[in-house]
Amino acid sequence: MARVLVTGATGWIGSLVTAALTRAGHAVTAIVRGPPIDGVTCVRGDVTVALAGWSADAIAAHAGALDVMIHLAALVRLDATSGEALARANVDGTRHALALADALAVRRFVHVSSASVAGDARAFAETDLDVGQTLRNDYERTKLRAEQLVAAHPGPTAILRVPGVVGDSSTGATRSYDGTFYRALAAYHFVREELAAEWRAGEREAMEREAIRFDAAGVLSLPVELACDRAGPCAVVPQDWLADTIVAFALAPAATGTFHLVQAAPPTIGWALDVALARLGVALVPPGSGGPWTRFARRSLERIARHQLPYLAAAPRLTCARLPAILGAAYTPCPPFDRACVERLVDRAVEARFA
Amino acid sequence: MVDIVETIGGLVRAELPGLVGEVTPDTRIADLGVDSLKLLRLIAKLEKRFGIELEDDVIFEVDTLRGLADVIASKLASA
Repeated sequence: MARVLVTGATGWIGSLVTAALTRAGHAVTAIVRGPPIDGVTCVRGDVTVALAGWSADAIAAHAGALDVMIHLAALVRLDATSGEALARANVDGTRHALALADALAVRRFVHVSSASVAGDARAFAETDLDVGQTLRNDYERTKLRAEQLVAAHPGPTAILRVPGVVGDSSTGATRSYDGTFYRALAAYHFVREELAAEWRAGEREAMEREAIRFDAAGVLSLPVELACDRAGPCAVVPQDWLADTIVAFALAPAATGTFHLVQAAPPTIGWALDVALARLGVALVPPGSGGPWTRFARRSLERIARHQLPYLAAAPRLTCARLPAILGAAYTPCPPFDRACVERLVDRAVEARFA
Repeated sequence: MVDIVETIGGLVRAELPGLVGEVTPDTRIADLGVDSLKLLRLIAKLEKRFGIELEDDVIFEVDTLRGLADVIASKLASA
């Protein structure tokens, strides 16, 4: 049994990691801002303040009694107005978590980071950090600064870079539809719904003049698409594999350094998009003569997926070389991102209306 | 100009049957409670009705129905 301290335990991935740890019989201590979590020792705190707001008494009570700290608390926002909140959560949060780990004499610090530190780099290795890539938003900038803090920290630390996360590999279910994969599909889904309503309401002829049409099975021929790097890797991982792999890593003896938690051989974005769009009832067709409904479709796609456009247009290739070796027998390859898996994800997302 | 405002008002009422209260030229688009897709649908219908093409950056700048009517009027004048 390992003694594990977790930040972000109520978040999307944090709650899955915490559940996996307690299921496996490990002793979990969580830093929580709100109500306690069942089956977990909860200490009230907040990583955005010094020492996560822990009192000297709380520190004394837990010092020397923790094997590993998994730092999952983070804020994900891609808009241009959240710079301060992102800096507080992602940069200050990591600084304070590291200081708390020191004060508690935690043996190893595992920082859960993001593939977005790669910015616009087209290829990114586990040994890369600041390679002159352009960071495109405050989220990317704060995640890079957090990694720099961890890398500069004395003592055993590890960084796990996580790509886009999708729902459960067997059921497709998830609690978050905010990632690039889902937002791109949401854009097509909602454009199809809106066009279908107008098609039925008397706009059929106007749409057909623009090569927009619904066939008898309800499949939409759409002459506009989101610009995307079709040949680029669809670098997503299912949430269950991710949580299990973070746990396996946190429990692995003395694994330090930076690791990419990605599929070894991801399919292309083009393939994943084709499968998902077929499931949504959308067929991309060559551009037509254009017009109001074509502009409506393009504007709507670009509006819904506006923060994801750079991620669709240029997907970095993240190499995954070090994880299997360091985990040995504890390593489980990412489940195949095959047609059945994509279709399950799409079906659950449509049922949930991407929210 | 009055015609344009009336056309927009008519379309807004047709698109939003559940809308409570009056739709006037000074009604703020944000107060209509329409999501951005419904607004873009309205724009498509206006473009079709008047035979014009509005610019992307203009669409999200205007804040009242009168503002939208002004944009359409200047498009028609320059056509």
